[in-house]
Amino acid sequence: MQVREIILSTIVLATMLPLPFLSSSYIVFLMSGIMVLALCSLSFNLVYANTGYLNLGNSVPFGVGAYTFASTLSYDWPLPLVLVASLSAILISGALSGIFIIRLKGAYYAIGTLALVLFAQALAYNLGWLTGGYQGIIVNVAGGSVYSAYFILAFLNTLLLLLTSAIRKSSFGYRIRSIKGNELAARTFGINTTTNKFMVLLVSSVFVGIAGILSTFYNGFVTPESSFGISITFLPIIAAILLGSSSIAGPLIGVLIITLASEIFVTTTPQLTHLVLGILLILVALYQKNIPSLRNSRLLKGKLGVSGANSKN
Amino acid sequence: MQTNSKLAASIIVTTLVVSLVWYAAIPTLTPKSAQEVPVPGPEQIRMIKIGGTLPLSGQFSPVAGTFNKLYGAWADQINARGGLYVAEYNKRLPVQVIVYDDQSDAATATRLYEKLISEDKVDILIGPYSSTLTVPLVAVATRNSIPLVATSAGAPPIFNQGSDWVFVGIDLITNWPKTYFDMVRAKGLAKTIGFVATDEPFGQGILAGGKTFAPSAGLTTVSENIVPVGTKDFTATIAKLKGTNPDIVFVAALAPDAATFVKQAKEQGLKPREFHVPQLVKGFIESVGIDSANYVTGEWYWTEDIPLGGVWGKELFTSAMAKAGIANVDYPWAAVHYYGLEIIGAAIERTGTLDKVKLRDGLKNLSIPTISGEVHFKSFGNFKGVGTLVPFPVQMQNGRVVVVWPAEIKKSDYVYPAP
Amino acid sequence: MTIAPLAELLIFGILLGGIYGLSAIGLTLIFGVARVLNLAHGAFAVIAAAVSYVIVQATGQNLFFVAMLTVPLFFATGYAYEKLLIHKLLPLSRERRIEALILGTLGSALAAESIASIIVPRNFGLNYQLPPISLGEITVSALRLLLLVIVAVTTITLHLIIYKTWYGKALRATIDDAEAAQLMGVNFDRVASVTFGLGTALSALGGILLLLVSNISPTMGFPVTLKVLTIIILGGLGSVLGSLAAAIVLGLSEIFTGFFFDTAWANSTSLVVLLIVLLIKSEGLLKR
Repeated sequence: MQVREIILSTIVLATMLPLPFLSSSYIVFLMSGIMVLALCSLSFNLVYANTGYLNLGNSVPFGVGAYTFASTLSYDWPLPLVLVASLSAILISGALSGIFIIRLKGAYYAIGTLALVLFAQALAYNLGWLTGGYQGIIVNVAGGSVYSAYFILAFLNTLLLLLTSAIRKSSFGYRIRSIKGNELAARTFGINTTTNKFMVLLVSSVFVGIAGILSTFYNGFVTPESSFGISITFLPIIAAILLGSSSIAGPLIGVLIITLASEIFVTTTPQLTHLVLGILLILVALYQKNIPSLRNSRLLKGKLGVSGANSKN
Repeated sequence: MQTNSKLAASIIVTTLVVSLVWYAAIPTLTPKSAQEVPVPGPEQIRMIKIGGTLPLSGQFSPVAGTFNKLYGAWADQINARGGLYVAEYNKRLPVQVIVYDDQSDAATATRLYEKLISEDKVDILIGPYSSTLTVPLVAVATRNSIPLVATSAGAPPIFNQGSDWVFVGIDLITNWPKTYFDMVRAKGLAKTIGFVATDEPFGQGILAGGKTFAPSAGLTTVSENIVPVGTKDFTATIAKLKGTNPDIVFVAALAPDAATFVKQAKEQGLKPREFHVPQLVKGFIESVGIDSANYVTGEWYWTEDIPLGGVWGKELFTSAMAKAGIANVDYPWAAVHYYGLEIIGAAIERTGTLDKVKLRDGLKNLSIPTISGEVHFKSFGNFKGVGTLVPFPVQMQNGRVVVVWPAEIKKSDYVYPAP
Repeated sequence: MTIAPLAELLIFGILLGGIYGLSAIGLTLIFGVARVLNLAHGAFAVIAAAVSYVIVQATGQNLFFVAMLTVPLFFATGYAYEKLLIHKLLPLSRERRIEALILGTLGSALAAESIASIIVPRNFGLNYQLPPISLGEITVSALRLLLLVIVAVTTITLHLIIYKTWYGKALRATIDDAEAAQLMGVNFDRVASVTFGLGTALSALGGILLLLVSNISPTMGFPVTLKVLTIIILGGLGSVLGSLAAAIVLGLSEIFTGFFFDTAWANSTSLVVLLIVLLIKSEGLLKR
């Protein structure tokens, strides 16, 4: 780990860890929400930045984990069994998305995964006997609170940041980034693109799925909107792209910016929230190359300072 | 040089981010001692804080988005008299209603109610619009030991979670259609009924109620159609209804979907003797058009024709509505939210305290007059905190919505079949 | 099962498919020319409907009359949209371009939806009551027949534009091979702007027609975009005929699924069909 990464992580942790003790439960709720989105965003970026595949169905394991958790709890399963069931469901849904990444490319992959998440949402709405339909399922874990969720989320985020960094420098990372550069060439060079793509997607799914479980845990409910809706599907993606997908911590900071800015609007002039967000996105699209510190910061990317094959940004 | 400027820029970004986080946290950074409720000295005025959210934006905003103005106007009126009398403090205290925008979203509402409780430190909560948003709040209120007086929320899951802290003025949603069916029975002409319901708590609840009461009115249910929320095309449903040809088509749907359905039904030549649309609100009437809405029946909780006064007299309500610029014909659910204010106000004055536990206990046993009649809270089986107010039938006649039942308050006669 | 409901279902299925088809053709043309998936496409349809609705309410004019004003207005909007935003993003490197386009079009979609919500803060629709036409046992909505005619006329006009005008030739050439077309003297920038204008105008028309058929909610822009995206993927990106065919197939399958099974699954039909098609033939039904 470089000195820079340690400094950055320390600053972030120093800010986040004492927060629950100093501020209200509302802030803890807000920050937990941010960390849930950050996990989704980092996981999405793990796949996107490395392989170039846009997994628009990123929230499928999220919802699957959330619903499995909620429904097994509502049938009074003991907690360990609930977790095992949820994790298995997450892995299965990850494998399903994996089939997509093997068979489809480019825009077809993107829209295909999008169709997958829309279909999952439709299932959540329509299979009322299983999912509680429009209303969803209420969850009440005895002794559970947003505070325990907060620390677990902080731990997971740190873990994923370190993992992303570690993958980047490992030979596994080089293999999958070669897919982004030119998949055909990579295969020609003997890299098993199928297995590698599948693995990185699976890892991503696990983190997203656990985020789903934790979100349901501290919010107290799961609905088709909260688990597969537009916010949970697209906000993490926007956040990841916002500051440049080649940065490791970029998704986390992107989530922070978007959520805090929205929250300020929501509590003051709510009607303008989307308008401002929209204009922000347009501006970033137009002027992204003029934010050198974000796209090319060695602080954020680590010493290597390259994003695989596309170093000429 | 380049490295330095990049490093500098990175530091600036990090500082920006950190300060955003602290900015959000600062309102709540108080030393421990200040978190106890201060004993009010002679100069310090204790404000009664009521907290809640409303759909100021999002899909429910057309139905309830203006109610924050009603809350504000009510607070102004109460404060003009000095406020609510609280025996514990031996004087009248001013009220303040804090409202945030829940964007018609349950997760946002949950988070904002946490904010109201932990940051704004309100004394009591007033519920949001719709059962969907209210259901998750039961856990929030219970966990924080603060009473929640719900408003437009009548779905069973709110009241059978075993919480002592939730109360609502209106009855369970499954009981709402009862008065309407009383009227149908009295008329004695209709024989068959077909249902269209949206697949969410409101639709399902009313459908269940409708099916229960229909037989007692001499009606046979010939068709039952459940559709997803936001259905844009009802051709299939309309075709099925045409096949079964019911006398009454009961549209147990939220206003936007009800409007789409009725509009398409008329276009496609579905001609029952009556369309019954419980959510007969302005949004529905405008979407469908005044002509198409003629002779449609609905269910409202209040109209100007009701002589009852409630806790503070009818004029307080009508003038608050006028000040807020809300006409009952446009927003018939405003009255339901007003019940919430009446219940809270009466509870505080009658129990004489702002202590949350005592308020809760007081609420359990209260009987309160409201602008639509007396309210008390029922407990039966698993259910607690259920109110007693139900809507009564109204009908659109020649451009005006009028009460048509029961005899004591009706303004005009029920017209059936629609000419 | 009598014939009567089937006729209505058929008409409406084709009509619904036609309305979505107009929007889909617009989007697939835009993609064919500029390789851009315009995520604001549906939002433009909604805002066009909102603007038209407000004008109709304010002036009391007939919607068809107002449409003749609004549709060209949105042609201009699409044109300007390309010139001011998309144009600047196209020259970026491959990876950056995709990201910038996602952010740019998504941002535009959010902004457009926000503006639509401010223009009309609730669900809205128009109600033109035409007496139902009866042919024997079959009762069909005259309004829907009229709209069907409008969709058909538009499609034919489009066909004429694409195959009989100079612009159409340049369009087809650019879709086939943009570089070669430029070498042959086609001004890519102009073709791109005009195509964006045309595509947006088509989408606007679709939105206006939808106003008559059902209720529009100001926030339905994005779901509509997603539906149109699934249609053009199904039909094969860049294929006009494919999009139209896919749209009609989808319209019909949605209506009939709703009738014979459950309305709840009607919307999912398009998704299931898409998923199956993609898994079998990974690049759409009528790949270019």
